[in-house]
Amino acid sequence: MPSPPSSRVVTLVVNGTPREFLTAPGGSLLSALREKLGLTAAKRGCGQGSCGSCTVLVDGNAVLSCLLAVETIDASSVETLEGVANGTELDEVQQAFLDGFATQCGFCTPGMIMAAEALLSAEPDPGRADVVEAICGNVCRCTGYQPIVDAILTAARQRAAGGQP
Amino acid sequence: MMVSAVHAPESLPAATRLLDHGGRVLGGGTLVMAAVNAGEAPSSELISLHRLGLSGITITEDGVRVGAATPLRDLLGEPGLAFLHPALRGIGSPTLRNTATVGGNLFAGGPYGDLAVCLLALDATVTVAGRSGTHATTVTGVTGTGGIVTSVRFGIPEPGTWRYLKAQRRRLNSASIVSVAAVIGPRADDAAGSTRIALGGVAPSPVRATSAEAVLAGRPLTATTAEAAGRAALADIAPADDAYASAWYRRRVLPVHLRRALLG
Repeated sequence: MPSPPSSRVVTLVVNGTPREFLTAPGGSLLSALREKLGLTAAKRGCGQGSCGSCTVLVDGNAVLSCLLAVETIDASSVETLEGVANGTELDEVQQAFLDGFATQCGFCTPGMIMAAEALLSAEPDPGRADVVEAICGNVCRCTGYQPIVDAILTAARQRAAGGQP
Repeated sequence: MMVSAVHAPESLPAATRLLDHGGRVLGGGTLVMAAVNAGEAPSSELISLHRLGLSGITITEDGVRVGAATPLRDLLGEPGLAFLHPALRGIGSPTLRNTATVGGNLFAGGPYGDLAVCLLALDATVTVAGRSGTHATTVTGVTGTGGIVTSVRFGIPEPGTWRYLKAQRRRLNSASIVSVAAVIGPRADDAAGSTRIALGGVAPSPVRATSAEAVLAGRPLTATTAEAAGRAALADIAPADDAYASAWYRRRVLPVHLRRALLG
């Protein structure tokens, strides 16, 4: 059975665009996004699933991209922070993070926003406890979390009022 | 160890052949990929289960069958398993639960694996596929079987008989200091009317609190018997120091926590 490590072709629909690339055996979705596709919003924090900075959406679900072997999700649809804005126009969550000073060093922000996007897709009118639970896998060492929770609640209200497409 | 291949077999015989050749199972990835990222892959050959059709939940009057590759999230979406939802919501984060699987939880090891603790209390049957076909075992029997866990089966406890309580550092996304799962007897399928108690966080893997069960056997569940059971359970554990609690603290917490769990 032993054979030299061979790369494999994987196809993903990333932020709406089909992308094809080679992955080394056991390569993670995070590595593919950052190193193959040049999408560096998702961050490599712990590599253990403890920090949430690599959070992206796969088929609409928030996942820890550092823990997904990318060859096992061939043909899936992936959304990253790069796909959230509409051109140069920030979406409600991004705008609320900016307005509410929910970003300090910024390392956790991409993961936080993707966890928030997953929550708001499933629950457009979340309570504070829902928001806290949704981001409980995302570590922030700067803000103390309250501005982040506030921003996500603000984004939910604005999206409900503004009619997000 | 570096990974040289991630196999994606489409049949169980093909998967077990790879296992026999030294491959190791890759389920949802939350355990194995964490090891891979740390340069500690369990084998250079990983066997992904994603093409084996091992996910899904079936609930009939005979009980519940859950495929090994079912993400924990799917159990939380199943109203028929509401009694397990508090335990499930205590496992990691919603993000982790989108990929962490039922089968993988059996191998999480302390202080993780709260679902495995529940399944041990429920006397779940674990089906394992190996070289010589499939066989049934228990939650504590899966390690070292050299097979691939394909499903777990268990009965839904009678109303009012299920107990689950977890001591943890934070309300959300925290490993276990002590986890207690129990089915209070008598149960319809258990003529002896025994209480089954399983503990997590207090040993390398989930353990039955047989000493506590013995204290309760044939006696009514009262504050007095529950307290005695809590003390007796100290004989059933082998706690360790870790980042979440010391072994000393776990020993202090267990009797009180078990009493509280039993009395609901």
